Amino acid sequence: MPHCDELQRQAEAAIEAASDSAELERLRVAYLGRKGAITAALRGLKDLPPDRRPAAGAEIQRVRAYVQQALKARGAALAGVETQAQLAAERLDVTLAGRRLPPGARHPTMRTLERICAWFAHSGFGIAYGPEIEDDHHNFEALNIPPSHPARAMHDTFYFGDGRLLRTHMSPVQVRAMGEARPPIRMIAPGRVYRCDSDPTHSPMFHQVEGLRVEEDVSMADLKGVLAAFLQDFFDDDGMEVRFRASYFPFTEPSAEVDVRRADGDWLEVMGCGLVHPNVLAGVGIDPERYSGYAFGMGVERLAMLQYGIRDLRVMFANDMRFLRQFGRSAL
Amino acid sequence: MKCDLEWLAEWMPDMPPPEELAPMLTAAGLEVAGHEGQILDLELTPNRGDCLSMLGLAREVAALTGTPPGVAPVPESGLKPKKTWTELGLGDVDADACPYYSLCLLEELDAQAPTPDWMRRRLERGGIRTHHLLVDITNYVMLELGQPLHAFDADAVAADVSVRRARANESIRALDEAALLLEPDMLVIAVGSHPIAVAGIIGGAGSAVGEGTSRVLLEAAHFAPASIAGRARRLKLHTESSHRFERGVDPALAPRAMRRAVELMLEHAGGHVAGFAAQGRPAPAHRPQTIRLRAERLAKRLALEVDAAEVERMLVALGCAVRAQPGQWEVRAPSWRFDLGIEEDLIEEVARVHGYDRIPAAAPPAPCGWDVPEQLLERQFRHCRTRLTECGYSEAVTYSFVEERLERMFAPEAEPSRLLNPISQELAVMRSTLGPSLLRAAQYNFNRQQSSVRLFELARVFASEGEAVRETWALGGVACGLAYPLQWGAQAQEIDFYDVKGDLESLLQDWLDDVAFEPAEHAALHPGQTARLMLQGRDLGMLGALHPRLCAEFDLPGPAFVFELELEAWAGFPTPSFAPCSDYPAVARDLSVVVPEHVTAEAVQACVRALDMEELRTCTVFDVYRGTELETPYKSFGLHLIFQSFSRTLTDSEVDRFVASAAVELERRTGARMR
Repeated sequence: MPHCDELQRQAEAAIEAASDSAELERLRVAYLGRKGAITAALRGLKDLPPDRRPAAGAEIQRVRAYVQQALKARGAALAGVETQAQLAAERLDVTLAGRRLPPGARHPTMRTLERICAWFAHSGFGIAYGPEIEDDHHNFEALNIPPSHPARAMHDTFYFGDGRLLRTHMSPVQVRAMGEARPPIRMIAPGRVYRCDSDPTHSPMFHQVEGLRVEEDVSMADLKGVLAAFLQDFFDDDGMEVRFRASYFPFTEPSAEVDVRRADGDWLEVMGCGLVHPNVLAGVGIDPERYSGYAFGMGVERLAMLQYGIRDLRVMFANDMRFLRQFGRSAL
Repeated sequence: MKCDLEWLAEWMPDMPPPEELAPMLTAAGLEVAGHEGQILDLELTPNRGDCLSMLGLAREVAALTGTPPGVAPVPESGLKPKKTWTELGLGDVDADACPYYSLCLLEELDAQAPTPDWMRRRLERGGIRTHHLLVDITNYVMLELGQPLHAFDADAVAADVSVRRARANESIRALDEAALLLEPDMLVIAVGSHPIAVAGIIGGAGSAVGEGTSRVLLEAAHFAPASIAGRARRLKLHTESSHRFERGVDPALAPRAMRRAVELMLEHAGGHVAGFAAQGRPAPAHRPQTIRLRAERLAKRLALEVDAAEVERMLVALGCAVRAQPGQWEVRAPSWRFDLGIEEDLIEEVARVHGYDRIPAAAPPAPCGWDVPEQLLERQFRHCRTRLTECGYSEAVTYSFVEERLERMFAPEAEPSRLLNPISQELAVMRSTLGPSLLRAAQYNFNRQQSSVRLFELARVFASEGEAVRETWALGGVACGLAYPLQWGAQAQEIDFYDVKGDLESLLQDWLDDVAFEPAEHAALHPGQTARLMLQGRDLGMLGALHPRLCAEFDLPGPAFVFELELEAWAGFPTPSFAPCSDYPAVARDLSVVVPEHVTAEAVQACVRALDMEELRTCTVFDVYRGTELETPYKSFGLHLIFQSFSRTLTDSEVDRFVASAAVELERRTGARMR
């Protein structure tokens, strides 16, 4: 059995030289294990004379503690190195693309339509749809457009040949809504409308949102207020100028076109509106002496194109993925 | 309507410069769409037929600027017939359709006389082609006063002229040489049984003024808008004359226009008046009925107090006869304003002359803090859009009409609703399904080198039901191409049936316990890859692979999958109802079940579920095996069963018993054997 100091020196040198945790473990067994050198030394105490045992025992315990401490320190050092090595080996190229299915995009027209509806829903306007295949009464006559009215020339109509037609505007929904509900009425009607017209600036199908409010003493000022507030919110520009100018629709009187002034200073027509014509109210059994109302209508594609800077109407119906993907962001 | 400002200045010497005039007209409802030099391009609304002339525009400008018009450079009265003139014969004149009809015969006109340069210039600036002096004069007077006139070659008009409805199958060769088949509600100018003009629309070729014409019958008439409107459109014509008569020409104007035209003809072509005839009476300057305009109503509708004297001034300036009474005015509209009939019309006149910009803007309706309750349909829209975009689908908007051939490929039994006047044969019938349109959209994208297309659309579809058409809201989708974008860490693979089925399962996650996918057939879909979706026993829609024979039609790079759900069949959104979760451990067991090929996964799982084991939490198919270890008409399902109790920890032997009973049931009901 080597002298304790010698044992300590040997152990210290071996632990210092250990290059990995397996080697360290082997050393732990060699010194502290059941058959280890220090364990053997402790066992050898019984062979000493009793008076020397305490001092020798204490000495061996000191060496044992020393070796334990050295093993622990070296172990910690080696663990750090090994972790570093493992981490280095596991390094990833974080610039490689993630594994996923990219989300799809909303159609700009439908996104715009939803925004419009949400604004008016928040102001207490309910939503109505109405059929897309209409009859002459709802699409024209009830709206103060008798047969051969020159305004019919503004509505190139698709017919089915049996009196039915594809609605040319969302106004028939007003007629239907007023036929069912009594004032106060606040509603908007979003949907598809059809005109027998196809060229770079006209599509045979497009979307409109119409709005209607019928109460006692609804005025042009109410109309101006709601539309100016809507348009400023829609274009996210509180200072945007909104202009109302006289116009003509058979179903409103007075009638107006609404223009907004764009950043380039030009006025752009964005919608038509007016106070509901008394003939229209009377036609659905609402007393025009007691009630008045305003109505407005806007082209959804047109508003979407203005907002997103789209120049060509045709792309709104081509469903080109390269176009649609541009509207996948969570913006307005 | 082209407004020649140089010409207008003859009537309105004090009018403002064009850069002030144009916005003023636009604000008042006479939209200036373009402005080039001294010509304003006006887009007039159909109610303002009275502004289709210099005279009308001068009145309007006078009313808007508050300055009185200058002295009219043309006479304001009609011809004074002379004793020396022959009384021309007139036949029957339909007095309802034509309240005033007059003809003037001019003779010994110089057939070679040229149109003076100033007149030619004004016509050209007004957008009217010049022809022959006599015709040019009629057009000139029309631009000047707004009254369409017609000149007949008097030598071609042998007998008395009458104004009547066209007879059945009557036809006329028009000035432009086109043969027009007339309809009985069309008004004609006729000599005996022979029509020589379609009243107020177009003249006939046979009586047209030509190179050698020296005798002319000049017509100035008032045709009621109702007897002209819509007819030109039906004849596929649109003339300066029909445009004006449809909108309404001042019924008091015809005599004045006749005198003006006659004077111009005599001045530029010599000759003399030889005869005159008129029937009916030109209308008085003011329409007989009075319109009451209440000051209170005016103030309420405009939310604006307009000074009473100012209201009166504006109405008078517009040509109305106004009588002020306490709190209201009695107003008679001028003969040229067909659009002023009720109080609201006058309110609009006051508003637009006063200026829409002076009407205040009231606060919009206060937001209710809580949106109008969302209807089921809007909730479905939102749900579909959110879920499907999460699944990688983009939203499409396609036309509601499709090619009949395609519609029939998808719905061969039904008779589609056909448009009478489609834009093209590709857009001819209302679609009863979204599939063809979405597949065309996919094709469009693959033609532009896209590697993957996933599209959905929310739209109405139109199903014929006898005479009626049922409109329902549908959700349609198409998926084709690569399942995932090209990626370094995943193998490229094409979208297959189960990708799309998975998308629908995600969409229907909240209802999934009540949804069944049943094998089905569909005309346009692969017979072995089509499923019908059932929700609580209701038919919710279809999912399937496009039939290979149709893949060529759409020129797609690989198998395409389409789905379509009917939103109405999908009623209500379930409200989650809490169920407790067990704290005892779950035990999993796998079971390998060999069944004949025709036995479906659903049949196997249903068989296990039918045992109604309280402790069975889930039964999942985690593997399907066909191969060398099995005989051919057999396949093997790997079932993963999870057991868990709410009251105790399950023992191994208990679970073994559950699995054994499941195996026995499977063997008994599906002919399965355990592997």
